[in-house]
Amino acid sequence: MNVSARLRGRIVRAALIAVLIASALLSLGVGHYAMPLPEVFSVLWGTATGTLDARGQLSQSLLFQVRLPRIVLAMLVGAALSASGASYQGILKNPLVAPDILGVSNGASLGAVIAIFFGLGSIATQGLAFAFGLLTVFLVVVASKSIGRGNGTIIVMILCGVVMSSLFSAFVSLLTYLADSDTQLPEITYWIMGSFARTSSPQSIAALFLIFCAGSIPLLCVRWRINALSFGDEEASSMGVNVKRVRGIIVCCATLLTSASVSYCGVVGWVGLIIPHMVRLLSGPDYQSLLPNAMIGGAAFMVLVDICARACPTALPLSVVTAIIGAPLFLWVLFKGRKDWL
Amino acid sequence: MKGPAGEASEVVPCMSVRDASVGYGSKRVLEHFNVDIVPGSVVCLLGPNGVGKTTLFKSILGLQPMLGGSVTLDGEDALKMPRRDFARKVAYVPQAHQAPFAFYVRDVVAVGRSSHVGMFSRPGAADYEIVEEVLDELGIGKLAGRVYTELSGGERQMVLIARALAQQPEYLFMDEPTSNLDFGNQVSLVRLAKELAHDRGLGVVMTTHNPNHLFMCEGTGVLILPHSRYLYGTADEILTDGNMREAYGIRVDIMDVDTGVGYEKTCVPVL
Repeated sequence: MNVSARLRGRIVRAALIAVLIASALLSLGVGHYAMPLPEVFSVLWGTATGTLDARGQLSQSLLFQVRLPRIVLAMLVGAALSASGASYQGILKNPLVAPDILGVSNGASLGAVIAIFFGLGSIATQGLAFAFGLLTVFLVVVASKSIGRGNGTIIVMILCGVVMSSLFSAFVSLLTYLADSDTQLPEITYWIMGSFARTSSPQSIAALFLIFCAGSIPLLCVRWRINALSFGDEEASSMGVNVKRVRGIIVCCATLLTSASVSYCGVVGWVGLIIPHMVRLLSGPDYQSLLPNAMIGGAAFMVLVDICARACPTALPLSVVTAIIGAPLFLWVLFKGRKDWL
Repeated sequence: MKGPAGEASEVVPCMSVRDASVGYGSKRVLEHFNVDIVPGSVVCLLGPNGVGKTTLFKSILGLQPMLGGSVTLDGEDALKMPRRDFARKVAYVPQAHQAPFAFYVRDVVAVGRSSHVGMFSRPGAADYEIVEEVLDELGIGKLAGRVYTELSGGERQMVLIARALAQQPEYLFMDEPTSNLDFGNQVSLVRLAKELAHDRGLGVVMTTHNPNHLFMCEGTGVLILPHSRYLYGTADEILTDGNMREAYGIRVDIMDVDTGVGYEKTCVPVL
């Protein structure tokens, strides 16, 4: 990394952190009970100094028990999806890959829909979604290994992902079709389109945080190796990279991150695709700066999306908002970007 | 190094391929192949399309399984070496290609340091210094801050050679390095291969489709013929009318050309 590239990476990182903090503060004030920023600050100040009146305490409990957990959830999910999207794009040598390329989202959806269909409760819904997400990728990897006779190539893996994804999506459709249209269907629909509304207890956020660390820390550690892998397996291997091991770590971590995100807030599209792409435009494709910047950018984007979703009179599903913001943004990125990146 | 009985058991640095069989699955393309690659010399691998040059290349480099035979690197079994140790001795230069992402040239060359940087670590200042040195040595220092995907084919090929040299290898394998280059760059590349061998002491192996490159680089040549046969020797030994007819199925005349400062041999196809 040359000095100017490194500097540029740092400036972009600082700017993204500023956006993240600003959007988080903004998000604290937005909702059914709107709080202007000065009030948010005075409540935060009052909490820090221990001087709060009755009204302030009400606001405090709203901020810390409702909005803050939700903001943290949005940040974790945005960072997780963005990190796994960026990593998959590197190892699959394709900038147009989304984090659920290997079928995590549809697998997790099936798990959640099964739980909703049989009325197993919200914790089981999350657990089953998480387990099914991991299971899908496991099946994809096993299938591609046996098809490729031990040398599962990338194209076989992607094809297996597409197949498994379609299969699970068919089961989801089947259960949706059979579901009770008064009670289960809204919940299924809401789940498939993504929402931060349900799971925001501090314990569940803490659990997500742990999974997030387990997935993202190894990714951050091996991130420079992704540069080598993006030149293809043979070249990476000839340069001394243990391709199987590094790719294994990346697939495991990215699957863990995506699966956890989907199990917490349903399927949220676009984030893992466009954020790494935009960060690449801002600070270059070197994974040393790309991965951390994409995580911060993803977190900020998700908080902003949540603000939009909540600011609307009826809370919108996340995927609707990410698509409405993401699709035009992506077109603009393509329009501005270097054509040979595609 | 001396053995217990005091007799010399020094290992002569050399990469030896012995009785190699290469191919895909059960289909053997080339069998019983032997070659020695000695530091400080160039080996040119010639042969018509489809005789297994690329397969041989990849098998020797351990990028695809060898169907039989052995590769030893300074006395050690190269096929059982960890990739990391192998990469510190043997570097591979692929044909100039497009990268999926618009890396800076400096970052592309830095990737060549992979075998010297820990799995969970990143290249440090010393690694980037080596990157700059290698770029300067190849005379492409000014490309360091350029974007790889925006370079010409010739420049990209040089960057890939720089990346391989950043591995600080003892042996350098180049897969048809001249195939995407213009006439002038082809000659420069052959000269570079010669310099890398003679000045830096590298064992250079390159495949090429132009037999004249073998005359130019003054090394040993391997001419792979159809049906798993091959010839090994100097340019004068293997580049004969008869051998060329057998390899390529065309008539080729070997001529001496007066360049004013001496005679150069060259292959001239007869239409």
